[in-house]
Amino acid sequence: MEKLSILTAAAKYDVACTSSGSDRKGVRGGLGNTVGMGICHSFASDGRCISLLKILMTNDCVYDCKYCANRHSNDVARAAFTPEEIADLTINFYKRNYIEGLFLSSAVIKNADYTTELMCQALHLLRYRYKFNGYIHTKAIPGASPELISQLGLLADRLSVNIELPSQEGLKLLAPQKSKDSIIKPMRQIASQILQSRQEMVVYKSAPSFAPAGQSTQMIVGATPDSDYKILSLSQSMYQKFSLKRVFYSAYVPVGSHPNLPALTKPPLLREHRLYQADWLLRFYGFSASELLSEAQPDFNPLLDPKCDWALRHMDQFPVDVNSAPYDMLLRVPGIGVTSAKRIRIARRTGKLDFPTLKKLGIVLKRARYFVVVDGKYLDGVSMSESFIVQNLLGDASMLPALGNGAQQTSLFDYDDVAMLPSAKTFPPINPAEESVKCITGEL
Amino acid sequence: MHNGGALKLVYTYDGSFEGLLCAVHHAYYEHQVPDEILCEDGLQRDLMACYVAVDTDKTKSDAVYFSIPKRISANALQTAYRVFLSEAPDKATVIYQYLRLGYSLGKKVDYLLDNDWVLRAQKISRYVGTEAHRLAGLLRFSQMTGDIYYAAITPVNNVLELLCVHFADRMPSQPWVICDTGRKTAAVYDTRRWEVMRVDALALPDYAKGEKEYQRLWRGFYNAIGIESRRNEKLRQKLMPKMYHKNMTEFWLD
Repeated sequence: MEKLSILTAAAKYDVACTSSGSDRKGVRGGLGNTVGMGICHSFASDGRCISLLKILMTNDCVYDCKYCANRHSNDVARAAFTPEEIADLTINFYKRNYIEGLFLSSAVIKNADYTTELMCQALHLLRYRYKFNGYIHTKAIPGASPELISQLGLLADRLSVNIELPSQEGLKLLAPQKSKDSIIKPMRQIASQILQSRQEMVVYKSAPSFAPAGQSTQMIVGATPDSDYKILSLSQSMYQKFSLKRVFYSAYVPVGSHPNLPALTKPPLLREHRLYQADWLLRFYGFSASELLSEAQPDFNPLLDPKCDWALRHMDQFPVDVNSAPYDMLLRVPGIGVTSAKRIRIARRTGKLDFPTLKKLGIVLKRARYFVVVDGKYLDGVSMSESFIVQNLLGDASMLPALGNGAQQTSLFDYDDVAMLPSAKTFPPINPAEESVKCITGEL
Repeated sequence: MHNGGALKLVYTYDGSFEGLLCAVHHAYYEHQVPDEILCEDGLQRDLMACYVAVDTDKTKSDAVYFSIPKRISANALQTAYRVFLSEAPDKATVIYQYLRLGYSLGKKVDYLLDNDWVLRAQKISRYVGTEAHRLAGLLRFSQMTGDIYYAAITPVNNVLELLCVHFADRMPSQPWVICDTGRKTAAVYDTRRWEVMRVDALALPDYAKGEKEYQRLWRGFYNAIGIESRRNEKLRQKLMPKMYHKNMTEFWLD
């Protein structure tokens, strides 16, 4: 019991807890299936989904990474599971429907190969002795031999290697025993084996599947001075080069103090939130990192979400007509998501859309109204200036997670209003008087 | 014959899906468009309405059932059935109107997103599907003596059957029982097939040996996994509403 608490608490800073990406029917005589979209089994006190039994094999680490709670020099209780214990716990939790599968990670005990071998043993027990057919996500330990990583990939649904720190300098400063190379090498290997396995499966149906739910990674946000632009660009190249399924972002939670670490009181949750929003824009909305941020504007606007921020900087591309705009452009309208854009595309086949219909389809007119027109007319027929839109969009700020006192984050009131918001160049409004009245009364 | 007058035309059915399909059949062949279709149980008769009680007939309901995927789409059948599993008071009328449009438009009925019946049918169907998906995660089994796994649920919608499909695939070699304690129905799976039956009182065997220990371990895990400095009760509440808590192991006391 105590062991479970120690090794769970030690694993909790890993963000990934998704059971998605694999769709596998149950088999007679076996136990378990997987569902493409994943299933959340519970939600922890921090609101995060609990889908997998997320534990460490051991938290007894030979490394001394400054940002990590399990670092060698940290004085915490140490414990270790045997492969049998892990298999037994997984099966019994799974049958009670507590979990969707196992997320097995580990601190490095003795060396990377030894640790990986232990993990392989646990997975082997699960897959072959218990005929466990559910979801398994496992960490590939940087520095493990390629043969062992192959073995892991054949047993697991998803493999991940955590980048943790988005730059070489960061690594040097906080994790001097790791190098960029030792992290990138297994990622490259996993990517190529996944690709190879997909190709083989086209030819032979029975070809062994290697990590069918793909590969993911995680980066810590706010432990190093890296900018949002740098992190997002790195994510983008990961998605492109290694066809990663997901990049997770983890707001740095202070777990120790060291001269090389920033002194935070709270994790930078808003910054993490913005990165996730941008990550979605990369994966599903056809944006690129350089469109959202640049060297000149390296960090996200804390007041506006990345999509609104982009739209306001590109008012020349708006408004768009919902009845004729191509799908790709609909996706770029604030207030229209992937589902809404698809629904618009379907609905306009059978008839012309107007604003009441858009509302029925679930489009967030509160935001979209400033960017879409029907027959050349805005909702209420008002054309708007950029600064006016900004003011109205900011009305949503109460929905945001509390601003953390991150190293890079200042409180709401520290902003020089004008400097942070997009330039206040105005478009000639049709009826400025009416506009300002509505603005004051908050009618819009 | 036709409901052109002031009187509202109301069909009543026996409350089963087959009965409802027979009402659809009746309207089609009598060339009538009922204003409402209601379940016989708990019917409050309105003086200004004309009531037609539709009998349930397996041949007629089968004819409608098999015509839906053929003439509309497999998806429409799923939508209709899921709406039927909901507790919406007007569900029978919604299904009827949705299918009526479907018979004239074919699979394109699902593109008609500005039609109120279509929207409502899709919305209710989504709601039922979401609850089933949510419970596929939040449902908790306990191991009983005799190696039977038992779970109690109290869902808003009648999602028991949808859950059975999921768990029969997930644990094919494990006998289990899922009981909807609110509706007093239980599904029993014997490693070959599952069956839903009515239960007024369920005599439960004791917990199997070791069951309490796994429950304690799970609570230990649950309490250790949250990060204190990120505590967010509102989010937890939103994703896992309180109404589900009472059947969940993590909220039971030792």
